Amino acid sequence: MNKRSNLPYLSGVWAWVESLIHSSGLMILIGLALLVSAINGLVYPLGQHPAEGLMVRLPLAIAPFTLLAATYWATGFARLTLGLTAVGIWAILLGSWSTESTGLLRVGGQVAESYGRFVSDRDIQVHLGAQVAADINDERVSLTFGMPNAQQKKLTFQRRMPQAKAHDGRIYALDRVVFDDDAHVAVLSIRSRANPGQEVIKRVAVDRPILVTNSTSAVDDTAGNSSDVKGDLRLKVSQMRNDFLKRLGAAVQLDLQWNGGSENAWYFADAPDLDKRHGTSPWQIQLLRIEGAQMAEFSVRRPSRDMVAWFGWSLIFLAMALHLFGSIREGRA
Amino acid sequence: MIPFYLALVAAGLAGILVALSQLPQRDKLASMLCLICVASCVTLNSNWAASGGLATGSLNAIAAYSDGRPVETVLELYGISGERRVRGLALTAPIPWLKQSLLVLGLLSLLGFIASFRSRWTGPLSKRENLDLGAVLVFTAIGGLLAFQLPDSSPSQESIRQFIGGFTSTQTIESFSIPTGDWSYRFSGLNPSGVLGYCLLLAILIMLKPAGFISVWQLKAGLSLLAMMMVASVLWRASLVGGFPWHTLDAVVSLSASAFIFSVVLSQHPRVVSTLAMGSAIPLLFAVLSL
Repeated sequence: MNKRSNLPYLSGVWAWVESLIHSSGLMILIGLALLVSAINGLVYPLGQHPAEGLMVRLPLAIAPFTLLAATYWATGFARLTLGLTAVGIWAILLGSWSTESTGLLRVGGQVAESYGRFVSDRDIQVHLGAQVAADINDERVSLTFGMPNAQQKKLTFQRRMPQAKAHDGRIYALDRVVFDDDAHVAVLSIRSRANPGQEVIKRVAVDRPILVTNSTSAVDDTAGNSSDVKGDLRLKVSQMRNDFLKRLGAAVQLDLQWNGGSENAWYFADAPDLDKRHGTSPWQIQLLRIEGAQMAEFSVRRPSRDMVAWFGWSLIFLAMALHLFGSIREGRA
Repeated sequence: MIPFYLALVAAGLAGILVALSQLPQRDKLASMLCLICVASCVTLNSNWAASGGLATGSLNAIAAYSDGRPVETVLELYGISGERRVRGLALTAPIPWLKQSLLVLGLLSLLGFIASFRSRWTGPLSKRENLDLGAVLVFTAIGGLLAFQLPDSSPSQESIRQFIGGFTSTQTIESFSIPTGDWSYRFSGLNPSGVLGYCLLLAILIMLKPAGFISVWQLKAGLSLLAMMMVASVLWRASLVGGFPWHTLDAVVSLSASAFIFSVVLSQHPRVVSTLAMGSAIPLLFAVLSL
């Protein structure tokens, strides 16, 4: 083992560690770990992966030692470049360090109240202190914070533009919009019994009330304002089943409120004329089907010492400029 | 997205510079084999779910609208006791032989990479080395071509009937819907076509110009300049998102840039330079096709 060491006074395990740090194989392994983590981030957002510490932070923490070990042979600009890069990497690591790991907020058809965060490889739910609802369309995703009827804060994110926004001591960055297997929306056909010829088709998620006006146009009522307009209907899906009792097919429990009455009942996709025959409300509702819902995924974290990370990247930029200068000088020599 | 594309151009150019450089051919080829192996493995891993057996199974393309919703055909059918049921069935289509091609490709490139440690790829390649590399290139090309062959996104009534026939007896189906709107088939995980095409291009460049014509100092200067571009794109994106949260694309750009920087500063090790400089484009290429 002693023969492999570049430093004659090292022996045993220390000589082996020294030769490992000097090896190019370790740096290739570190680089590949970072590249695989970058690829993995496309299917599982980074910051929420339990192996991130092993695949990203540990390699980044070791890399500067390898760079500093390489200064043993380097001279002039090359040595300065290696040193600056090593310090820069440590600064980036420190700058991206947070007392809290990055969490994952998933919000779509249903209102969310917490986000997931990995603590010692366990997924812990952290309460946001408020309800948050998402409104997703082709262009943007809006997050609305706050309890119904209370003061609300709305953050809007462009789907095509990377952007992070802060609210209540946390930073939110939109990762992606995905289809969610666990969340569903009910597709309902709504008619007034007084005017059954006009039909409104609405997609309604659990606990997201909508207001259906008497003119048979519907507007969202996520704030939960109850309707006191005569003849309007406030409709809320309180429960949803893909296959009720494993026999009766798709079903939703609807909470209907109109001026003068209310009704709470199950509606079945496989029995579309049940409400027509037995319903007591002035509205005739038919469950057409249950569909999957979209869900927005946000990275959530507390503000960290970003200035240190900026400093780190700036040092690396300087190191690259010095390396360029050194290479040109080498070429002229 | 401009900083992301800036990083992609920088990383792509770096790969081409390395391929045409005067670095030892053995190191360039070994790095390429290693990267092809990694790309094959991560592609298989991300698409593996519900792909069936090793020999008989196949990777599946899923039908999706532009906003990510899966495309479904809505079935109206009757149960044994005559009750009416409405069910949505997501459309999928197998991509024949891609799974097997990627498996063979991963295995061949791994064997080639391991062999490179004992080989003498300093001069012209031996017959055995040529055979191994030729096989890898052929399978890379096959994999790339298969990945481009996603099914057509205009199903007829007949194709839907054939699709649902695989799940249930068509006798009990009362009706089914034919999906409309703007949708297409895509991979359920990572799309390997871009990365395999990139690797194939680099491998061909390495084989065409075994000695290379870009001198080592020119390569170092070029890589430093491109590394500055990548760091600039990291800082640009950070300024756009107001810091360094682990946003998916930020992570891709910053981690690729980090790997690339290591290749620049450790330029005395040819294999570090070739592996990391050529590999830094791979996450960015996967990202482009995942957007």
